[in-house]
Amino acid sequence: MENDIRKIIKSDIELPIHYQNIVRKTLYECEHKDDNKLKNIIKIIGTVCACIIMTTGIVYGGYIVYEKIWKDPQQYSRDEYLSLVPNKEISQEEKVSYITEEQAKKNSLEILNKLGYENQTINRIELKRSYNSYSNAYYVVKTKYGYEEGLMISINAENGEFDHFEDMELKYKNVNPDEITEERAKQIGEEVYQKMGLKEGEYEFFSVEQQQQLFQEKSMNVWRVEFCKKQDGIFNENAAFGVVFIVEKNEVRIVSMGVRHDNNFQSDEVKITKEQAISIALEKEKEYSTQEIKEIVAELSIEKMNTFFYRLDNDVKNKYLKIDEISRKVWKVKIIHDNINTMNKFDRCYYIDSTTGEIIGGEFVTN
Amino acid sequence: MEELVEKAKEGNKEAFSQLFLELETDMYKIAKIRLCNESNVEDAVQETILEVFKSLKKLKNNEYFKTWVIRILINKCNKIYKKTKKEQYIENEEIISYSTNDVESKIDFFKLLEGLNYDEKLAITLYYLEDFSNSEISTILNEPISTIKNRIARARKKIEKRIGEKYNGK
Repeated sequence: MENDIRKIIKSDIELPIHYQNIVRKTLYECEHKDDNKLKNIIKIIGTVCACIIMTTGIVYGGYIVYEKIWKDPQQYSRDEYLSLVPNKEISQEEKVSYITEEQAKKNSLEILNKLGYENQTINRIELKRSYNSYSNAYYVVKTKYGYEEGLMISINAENGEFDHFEDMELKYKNVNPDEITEERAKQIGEEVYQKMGLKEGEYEFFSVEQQQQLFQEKSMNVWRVEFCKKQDGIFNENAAFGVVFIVEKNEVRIVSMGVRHDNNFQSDEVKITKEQAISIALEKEKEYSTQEIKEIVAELSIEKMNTFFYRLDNDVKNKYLKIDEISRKVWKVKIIHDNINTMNKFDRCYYIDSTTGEIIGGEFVTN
Repeated sequence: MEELVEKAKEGNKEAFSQLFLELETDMYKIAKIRLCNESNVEDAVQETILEVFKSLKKLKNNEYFKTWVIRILINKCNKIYKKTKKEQYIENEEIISYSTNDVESKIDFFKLLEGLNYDEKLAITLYYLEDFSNSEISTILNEPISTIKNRIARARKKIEKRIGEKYNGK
């Protein structure tokens, strides 16, 4: 009898499609935002493309044929995928090609000095495997040993460049920030940019906003200022310098700060017009919704190719998908439906490659 | 799982997703024990994923990942349950009346747990679904081991009685 109970409790159940979508949407958001930027995620409740048949990677007809950008992702089982991911242990051979611990400490102290943290000592340093496409390893350098204590800096182990800074004590303790204006916040962001010695014009001011926190309304008086690279005249949000800070008793205190890199930007000529991009998106949208369209918004942007539509259209549950990590100039076309009388609370945004007209990614948007 | 947890802690977001894709069915079952409304179940699971995403680096021992996630989930469910108690009550009534008429269908996870109170359902699910020990369940629920043991034994007895009746055509 005990075995019967165990068997039934462990038995598979049919998960509601809405539920599965919400889990995936949440994971998608986590995969594509860092935790400081994670905005309030709105739940998906909507029709699901159970019967959608679609071919991906079609180069828009009627135009000069360019090499296809989109290629179907490689699919891996969990074990296959894990075998591809490098071990977290870093071999001696690898270490030889990295900067030394001493150099990493020196670089960290220089950065701390620039920011006004003087007379700091390094009490912990670790070399860690990096799993992004920009570098293979990084040093985590800490002024205190405990995880939730002191200042933490990460340094790219390959070139010694600054990667990320966090004041762990500010992160984990309650603070009582002063109220400041948006203009003042922007000014502070620019001052930090200069202190860090970043070249003028390397990144340009992009945004200033009060930081959003998970599960809370806006966290008042915690500010985030972002500077992005402009490429082909468009802000690339994947190549950015951002700083999060508070002002407490008139003193600026940096909560976190970091650089994002995008070495995979492919610059190509814009061949697709806005109207053509909209018509490509509308054609595809017919497969997902028959609701009346309320609004269409299209703008040129730089986005990383992703598997958003591939996941919607294919049964790839529990599969790891791997695609080329490239960013392209795309038309971001948001199609907003009049969902007032339906349960559907989300819409789709299409990334239409601005050279080839292919759909190379997308995301959910809330209406 | 521990290797995936380590990779997720290092910032590998595919590993993070894989962890939750592996847990999504179990999380659904556990949340559904407390919350009848699908939308509330979705909220609880979504909030759990976000909280884990935010605090994963704070998890000191990777082998406790599942225990930790389930504890967060149970807390989220309890919080939502308290907020929506009236709504849950109404839906419970509907579900019970529906299930009673459905005598011919085979016993599945939810039917098996019918007739147990929430505490019993949760304890026996954690015991058999996750293969947690009495001591682990006691840690997750923050209750004495003896209470957990008694609860599981009581739940098992009730289920055995019911399954026995069904098999014997009573």
